[in-house]
Amino acid sequence: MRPVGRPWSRALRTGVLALVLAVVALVVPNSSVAPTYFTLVKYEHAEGIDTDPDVIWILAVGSDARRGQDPLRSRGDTLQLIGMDTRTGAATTIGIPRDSWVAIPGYGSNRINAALFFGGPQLMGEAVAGLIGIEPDYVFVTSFWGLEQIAKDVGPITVDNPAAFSDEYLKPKGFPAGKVVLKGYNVVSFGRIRKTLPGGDFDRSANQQRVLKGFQAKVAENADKAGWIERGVLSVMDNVDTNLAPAELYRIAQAIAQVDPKKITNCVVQGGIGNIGGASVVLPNTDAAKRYGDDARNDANIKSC
Amino acid sequence: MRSWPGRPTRAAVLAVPTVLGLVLSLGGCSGDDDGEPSAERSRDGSSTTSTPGIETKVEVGEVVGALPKGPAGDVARDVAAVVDGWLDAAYVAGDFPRTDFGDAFPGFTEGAAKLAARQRSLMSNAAVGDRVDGVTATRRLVRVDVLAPRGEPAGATAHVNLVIELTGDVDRTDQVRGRLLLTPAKSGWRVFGFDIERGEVRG
Repeated sequence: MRPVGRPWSRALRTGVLALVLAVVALVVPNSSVAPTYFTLVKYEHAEGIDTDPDVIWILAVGSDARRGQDPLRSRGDTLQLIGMDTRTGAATTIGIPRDSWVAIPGYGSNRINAALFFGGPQLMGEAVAGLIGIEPDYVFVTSFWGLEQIAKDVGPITVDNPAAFSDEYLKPKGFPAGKVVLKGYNVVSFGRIRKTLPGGDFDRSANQQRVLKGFQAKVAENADKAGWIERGVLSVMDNVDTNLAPAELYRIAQAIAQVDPKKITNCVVQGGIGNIGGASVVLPNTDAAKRYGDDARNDANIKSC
Repeated sequence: MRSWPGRPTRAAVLAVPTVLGLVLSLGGCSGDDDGEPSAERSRDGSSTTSTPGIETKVEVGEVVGALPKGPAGDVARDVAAVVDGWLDAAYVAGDFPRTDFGDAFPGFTEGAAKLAARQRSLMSNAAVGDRVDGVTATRRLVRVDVLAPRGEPAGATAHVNLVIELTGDVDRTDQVRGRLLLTPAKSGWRVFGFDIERGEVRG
């Protein structure tokens, strides 16, 4: 049975409790406010990254290799040429549809994604240079599972999805329009789905750019956390084939962190659908591709797509 | 495009647990002929060197890669020596009033020094040096995160927290905090980038 106390003793207990709480409130600092020695009145910010050259070009290649296959000798199905101007914080991404029919040095003409199969990252870079007019300084090649692991290591990213879409095999529940938080596998499927998008591979390429933008924002957001960039670099080394030394990769990671989101431009090389030898291909707008390259070569900025 | 050297060897090293708790106290001026700081080790493994004014407290932050505790501490010490060189040359050392800050960025790459010089009002005391009689550091903390794939140091982030009291026509307390970014070179660790903020603080 619940004991019933006398009114005066209950009042005493209440009073003691109030006194204790009052003392605690005075003695123990509010846990929501971190103790500080100083109050920062105002501050200004300085930043900079020294790279050589000032404008860095990276070709990011998503290989379509399956488990057991060599990612460096499969088809390059994701092709994004990324430029960063470390003087200004500008960055641009030029997406290239995988079926673009182009000249591949030493192999005649073919779909551009075949360059990786024919000659590895070196030839892949040369084929892209032939279309855009910019030779990448570095080539990154990753696989579906490599990207998924990086996405897991980095943590959730946010993309701005212009229209809902789904895929019965890759993502039956689909992705809603608007701000979407992606983790692990969903990062891969967001950038992989093609068949259900109105613009097919052109739209997919744009989605891949949204993923890259999400990664950049994540890097910038976490750059000042202890060891975060270092762990990210190690994850990339574990999951990406690249011709970069670790120190170079570290510099690039820091450069990515200092990209100004307001100075990011993205374009996808457009084109028409053609038929060559019975195969459906993209006939890229080579004039536009060259213009993107000319626009961005020296400052990583494209005025308009 | 850089030539592709064939399939590169993937790093097989996974992130190792964070190395925390090793605290070194170092100063930037050792007096050694080769410019290396001379550390005096204490029983708990920390070390100190004497320097004019307050000593810099150096902490080993996160070590990513298979680098043992001892070498990680060595990296932190070497990186901190570079950072200390900048803190002294840019903010603390010299005869005040001071107008010459041309040598404010020792240990920076040429490009990084140019970038810093363009922002010298934050990256040094250039904006106030001629109106200051004295500078006293009351806090000098450097925490060093290390990237060391396969046990080889390849990059370091130095988290800096400096508090200086300025006296003279300009009489105030400033805090300089943020990150210096370094990679190893033949001549030692070099600063290739920075992300620093500076502000007035009131106690």
